[in-house]
Amino acid sequence: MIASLRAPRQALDNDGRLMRLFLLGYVAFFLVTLVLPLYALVSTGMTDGNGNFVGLANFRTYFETPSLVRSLTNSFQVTLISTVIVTFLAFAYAYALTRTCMPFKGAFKLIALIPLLSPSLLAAIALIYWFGNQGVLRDVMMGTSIYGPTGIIMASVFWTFPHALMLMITALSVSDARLYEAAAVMKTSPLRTFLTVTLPGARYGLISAFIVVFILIFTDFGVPKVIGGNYNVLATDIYKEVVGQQNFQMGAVVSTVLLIPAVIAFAIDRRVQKSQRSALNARSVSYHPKPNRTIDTCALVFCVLMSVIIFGIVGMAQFASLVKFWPYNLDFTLKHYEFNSAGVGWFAFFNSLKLAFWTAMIGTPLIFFGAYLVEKPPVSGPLRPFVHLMALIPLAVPGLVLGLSYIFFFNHPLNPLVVIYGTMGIMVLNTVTHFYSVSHLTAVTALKQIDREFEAVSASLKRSVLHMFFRVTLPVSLPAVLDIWAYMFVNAMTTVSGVIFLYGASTILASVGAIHLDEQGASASAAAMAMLIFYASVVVRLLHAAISRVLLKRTQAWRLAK
Amino acid sequence: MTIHDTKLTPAETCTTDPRSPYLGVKNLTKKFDESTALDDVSFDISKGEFICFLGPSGCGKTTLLRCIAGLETQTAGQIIQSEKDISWLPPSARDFGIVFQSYALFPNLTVGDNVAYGLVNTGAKRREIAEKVDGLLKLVNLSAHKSKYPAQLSGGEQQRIALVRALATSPGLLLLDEPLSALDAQVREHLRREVRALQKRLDVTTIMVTHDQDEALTMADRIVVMNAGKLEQIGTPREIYEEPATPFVARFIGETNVIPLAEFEHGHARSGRCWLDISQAKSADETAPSGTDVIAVIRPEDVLIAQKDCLNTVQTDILDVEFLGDHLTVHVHAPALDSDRLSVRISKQQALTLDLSAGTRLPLCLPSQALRLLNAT
Ligand SMILES: Nc1ncnc2c1ncn2[C@@H]1O[C@H](COP(=O)(O)OP(=O)(O)O)[C@@H](O)[C@H]1O
Ligand SMILES: [Mg+2]
Repeated sequence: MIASLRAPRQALDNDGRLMRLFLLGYVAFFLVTLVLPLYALVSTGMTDGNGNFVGLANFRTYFETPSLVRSLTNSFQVTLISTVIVTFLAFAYAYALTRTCMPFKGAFKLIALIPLLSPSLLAAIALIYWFGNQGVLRDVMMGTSIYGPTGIIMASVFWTFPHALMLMITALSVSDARLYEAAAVMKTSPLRTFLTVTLPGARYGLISAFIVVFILIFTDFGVPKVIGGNYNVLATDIYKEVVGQQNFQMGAVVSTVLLIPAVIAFAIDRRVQKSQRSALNARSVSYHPKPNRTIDTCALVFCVLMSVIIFGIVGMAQFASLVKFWPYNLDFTLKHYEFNSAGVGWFAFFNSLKLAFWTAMIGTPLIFFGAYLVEKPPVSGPLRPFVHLMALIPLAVPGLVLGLSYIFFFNHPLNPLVVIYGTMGIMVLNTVTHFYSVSHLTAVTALKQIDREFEAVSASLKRSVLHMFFRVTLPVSLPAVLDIWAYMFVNAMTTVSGVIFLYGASTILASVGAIHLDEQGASASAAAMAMLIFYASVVVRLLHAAISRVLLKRTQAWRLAK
Repeated sequence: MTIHDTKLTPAETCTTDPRSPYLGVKNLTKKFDESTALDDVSFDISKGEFICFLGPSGCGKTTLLRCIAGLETQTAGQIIQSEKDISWLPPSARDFGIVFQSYALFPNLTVGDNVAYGLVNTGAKRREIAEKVDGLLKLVNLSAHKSKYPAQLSGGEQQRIALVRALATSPGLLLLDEPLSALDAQVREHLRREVRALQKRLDVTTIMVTHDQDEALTMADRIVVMNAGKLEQIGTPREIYEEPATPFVARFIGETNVIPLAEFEHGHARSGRCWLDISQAKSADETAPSGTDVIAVIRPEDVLIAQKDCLNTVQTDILDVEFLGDHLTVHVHAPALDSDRLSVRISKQQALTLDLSAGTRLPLCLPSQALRLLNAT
């Protein structure tokens, strides 16, 4: 009876069983790296110091402590202001790159991506040298201090600018030329065209960029730590509770408070992107801008200005790290690159390289194959959508929160994985998980462009799914795989928030080292460390470009065939 | 006979009758969430037949093909291939080769490697495989392109590569999903003949999905006409054209005139103010027509210019004339009939003897034996 009530399902072949096994493996991975740690975090927030369950008592304490609540409103305040500014600037810059006939577009695009190559705190350090108490331009501050909201906002705008820009470029490049032709035929004024065609067409990109930047700034730790002064935000509160006061319960509570808006923003973004997909169609014609002297000149001036600022920030960090004693003795020296202060040395930089290398080496195959399982072979049931959802969740989990949750989970005496606590291994695991989502989406996008019938053809020819994967799917997706590798490497180099709770004395990283150097007042050394990270990222990006070129030429002859 | 007697196990019902169908689709239903893509579809195919699934887009042809391949699982029903129930087998356990509309050629493999893709794990030696690939490429006259990449070939060439790749492993069943629809008209016509010749030569049972009736009529041994997930009719191209079983088939295949009928009396039926002789008309079902849901259909080429001895003469006025090369189609208005518009096909010669200017009177004859009666529902 029971058998006849259950709907029959297609029998699984060996491939099907194997793929299901792999999917279960990914479920286990996300349980260990994401679900259980977050559970440990949230439940720790509901216990007292002795591990007794106290419900929401800690949260009540939190909301009854004025200094903590002030951090919450502070966080919202600086985040909203910075996000509005970034969205506006990135839109203008993307507009110049996609909708005008301004010259040097390629160069401007590259320049705008520079902030991606350094940790967020680099901007904060550089701003202090520009506008701080001994800054070059301290007079333009007219007596106000760069330490605090002003500095946080300026630095945040700098480092999140390329993130918003990339989303904006995508949104503006997909607009439909036919709408502009229609507008021109009807003699619509440029302003009206902009308001009725351009803006609505890019609105999903605008919303998406707004939300992504909001999450980035809301959860960022490096910038407020360095330039926040006495102005507390949620991220610095977590650090203070955990590292300063060893109050893990309150750290967990603040983390939860930080997590909730991020998750809500993430959910909104997913919805927005769903509706965007249906708003586009295959018949759209791509838009080619026509020369317009006024607009092109304005665009050029704006982009030059932005580029000057970007070079000014990075250049200042470089300069400050090379002078003897700012601002009194500007003679050249390399002593800030000696790093002989307590606990931080060149080994921190090599640790960072190691972390970045392993994160990229382990993360890339893991993420790409996971995306393949989610996207391609026909395994019915809830496993695939579940793994896909899990793969996107890290997007909503702030690095600081993820890192703290690893303390609670992996340091638990009953956890057999406690052996990796304090090693490079736990940091690799954390960093792979932290940057999983964007790479997953990159891989899924690349896989979607591959004919969806390949697996069916392969099955009809009795070849295994894995054979198909290695013979066709992987070679065809090689550019995306290389992109993911470089993305993972650079992010592992520059991240601070994910690993700040996880390093041990021998595994301290360059980015964390920069924080400590800054804390100790050695800001020139901090700048030096940040610059090392920057150069390592530049080298990896250049290598990536070169290797891609050679590899594609050698293995992708079919791409060039026409 | 008791009920128990009919409960035979599958093994007992499976006789080894050589005439038993190669592929049997039984009561196949496929539902996607709310919508029903296939609704209780049943038919049999014999070994070596070339079958076309024909119907408007969205009627479920691809879904049916994918169910047969195991790429979709049916909600209910059975699929039998070579007397084996394959309904719940995964694609890899079924015996078929498939060509998609996109061809799905592997872009990073050469033409030769694409064709050899399924041969490598058959245990054949390298030399045998190379010979087989050469033979297959020769079959479609593409030997010269063996080491090129798919992107370097034209659409028609890619099409043929996909075809021989699917045939390389000698599958018992070849499935083609609109294989020609992405090609331009000339190549398409040429490939129709080539695909058909190849199929005959290899004697492989073939199902081809198409929405193009010319393609189906010229290529198929039998056509499965589908509409909105239902099977409308299965038959040879001639049967489908000359003896449509439903109004949908009559309208979908070729052009047709539809004349609604009302009363029936002594071998006559009334339409509007006309009584038509239907004594020699053919009927889809044998029972005498009655009621109000009956229509008569007649092809434009069967409508004649009225002579003296015609029984069903109808007065009409010419609306317009379409010139179609070897013939003309005249659209007329027939006020006496319930359907006031008819199409008549006349030859060029005949046209010379007639005045075909708009508004001219044209008496037409609807020969009784050319009428076909169908239930409208
Ligand atoms: N994967 C699917 N999910 C939901 N509906 C589907 C899916 N595939 C097909 N359909 C629906 O089933 C119907 C039949 O589709 P299809 O078999 O592709 O038609 P055809 O090939 O005859 O054009 C259509 O209405 C289509 O929208
Ligand atoms: Mg179809």
